[in-house]
Amino acid sequence: MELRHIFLITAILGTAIFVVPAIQSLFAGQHSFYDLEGGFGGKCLKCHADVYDELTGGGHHTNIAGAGSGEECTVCHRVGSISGKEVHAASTVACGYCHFNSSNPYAPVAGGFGKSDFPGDTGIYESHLSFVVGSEGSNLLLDEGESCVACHGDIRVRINFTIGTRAKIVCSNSYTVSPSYWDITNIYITESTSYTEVK
Amino acid sequence: MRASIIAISAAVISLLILLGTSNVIALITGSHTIIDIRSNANDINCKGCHQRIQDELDSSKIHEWMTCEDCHRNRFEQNITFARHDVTGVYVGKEAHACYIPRCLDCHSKTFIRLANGTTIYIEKAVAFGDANYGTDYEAHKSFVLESLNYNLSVGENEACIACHTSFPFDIDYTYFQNIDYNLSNWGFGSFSYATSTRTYVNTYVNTFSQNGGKHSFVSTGDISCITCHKNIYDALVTGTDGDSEDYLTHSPIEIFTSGGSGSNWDTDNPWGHDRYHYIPSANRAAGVNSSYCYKCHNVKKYADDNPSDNSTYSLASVALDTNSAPVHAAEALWCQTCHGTGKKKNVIDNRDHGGDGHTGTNFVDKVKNKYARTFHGDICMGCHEAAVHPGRGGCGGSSGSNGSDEGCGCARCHNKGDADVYIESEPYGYATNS
Repeated sequence: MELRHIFLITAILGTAIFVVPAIQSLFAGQHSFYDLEGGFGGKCLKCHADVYDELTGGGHHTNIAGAGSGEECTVCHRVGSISGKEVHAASTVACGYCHFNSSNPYAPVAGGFGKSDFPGDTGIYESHLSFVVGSEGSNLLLDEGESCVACHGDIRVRINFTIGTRAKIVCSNSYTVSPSYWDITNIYITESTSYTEVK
Repeated sequence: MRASIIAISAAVISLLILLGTSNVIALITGSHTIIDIRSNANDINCKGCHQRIQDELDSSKIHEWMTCEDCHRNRFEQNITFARHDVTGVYVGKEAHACYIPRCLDCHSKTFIRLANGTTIYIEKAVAFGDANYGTDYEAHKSFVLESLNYNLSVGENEACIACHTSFPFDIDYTYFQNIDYNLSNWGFGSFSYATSTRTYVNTYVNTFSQNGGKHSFVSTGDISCITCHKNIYDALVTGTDGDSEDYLTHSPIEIFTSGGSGSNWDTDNPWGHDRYHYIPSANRAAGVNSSYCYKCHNVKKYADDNPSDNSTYSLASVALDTNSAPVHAAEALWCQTCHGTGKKKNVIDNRDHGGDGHTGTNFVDKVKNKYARTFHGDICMGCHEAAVHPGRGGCGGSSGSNGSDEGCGCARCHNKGDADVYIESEPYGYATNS
């Protein structure tokens, strides 16, 4: 190493000693603790501001804890038994926790799937019932959540459908009896196709 | 050196991402933005997930102007409570939440319905099927409708509706008897039997519509072709089985009338020079056999309505009295005996050239109807009336018997004595012998 290089390094280090007056903490503010006695007050937004923006930009749930209270997150994510055992800060919640519960005065009952306790909710004619039931077996969201947000959320959904495109009718003539008649013995799909819909 | 540059670049980019991304990415972006559903319309866009169905509907000949809600969320036409949220409040769904699949007859058993927006419109009621108990038993497709209730390709009896009224392709396997044998002696049955083996005719769907197949791609009523599903009958009328002088055409009977060939619309180009009814000359078969031809027997009322000029040459009114097409939906189930028999306007015509009572005097046709399964009725008649099994005129040689008939030659055995040994295969082949 040449002498001029030694002088340069010495100059830089000397400057740094004067410019940086204190030792840099590993995480600035890590010793400044929030006071949670008075509620969360928007603390969740520190990490989840995007979710908050989504929530306030929608048509429902925007005023769920009072406009701009900052407590909106807790209405859904700190409900039920939050004892510090199964959950520390926030739990994920199924939509049905509120919307299948007819005793909840704040949440309209999502009736028509046979999932709620609303009198007469059978869901026997609902076309999307299998979607809801199938969602319960998926772990992307809790319980039926995938099917709820697919329709009610402003999300991009890509759906791969497989549908029947051709069918067979099997009929036999009951000619051994009189009067004879044509008997349909089966109707079934023989061909299908898959396609994708993007919402 | 290059590896070092890449590593340093990756580290710098990662650091920038870490610093630049201030929030944790939500698992499903947008899942917390709940669509506002409080307007009076359906605010959930069905087409967002079901554009293909909208495309089908756009190509449809009917219903193309209708909305998803008119059929699938119509509180005026259904006793199904589905979920609604509008300016008047929240209505909790019971039997359905977002949408239900309707039965076609939910609307088509009426003449006026209300659309989802409350507008009242006139619609075509499904004749017969829209009535109590699906209407008259004379309708040939009634059992199809009734038995569709047992299958779940769609709800209710919709499979039957979809099969005819949409371009969704259905292949059909028809299984029926292979052939029958019978012996006649003096217009009485000496024996009758049917084969234990069966024939299965595979009717392969051929799309004749401009639309691609889809359950929401409805075809116009006038475009529905009987032949689409009943190619076996078409083949029995047009193709048949090659014969020496005439083809074996089981659905194309000859009804002999000895006017000497005066009938202007009937084929007289046959070995015995007779006029023939219900018969399409070979030159006209392919073009002449269409739905209109089918209606001529199977829906006389419709044929008469569609072809009023035919009344001048063909007494449709008389035929209509013997048939029961007025209350049918598409086609009447009928047999030769529907029009021909005791008390019918079109009584059985005997060949008076040969004398005797023939099969009119013995109520032969009525006996066939009353004794045997109805699927055999036509083939029993066709055992004699199929052109291909009829011997040529030369067999008689112009000689006459004691009663002025051709007794003693080939004609008299059937025409005068009523004796025959018949073997006839079911359609569309129809090969037959009459010895």
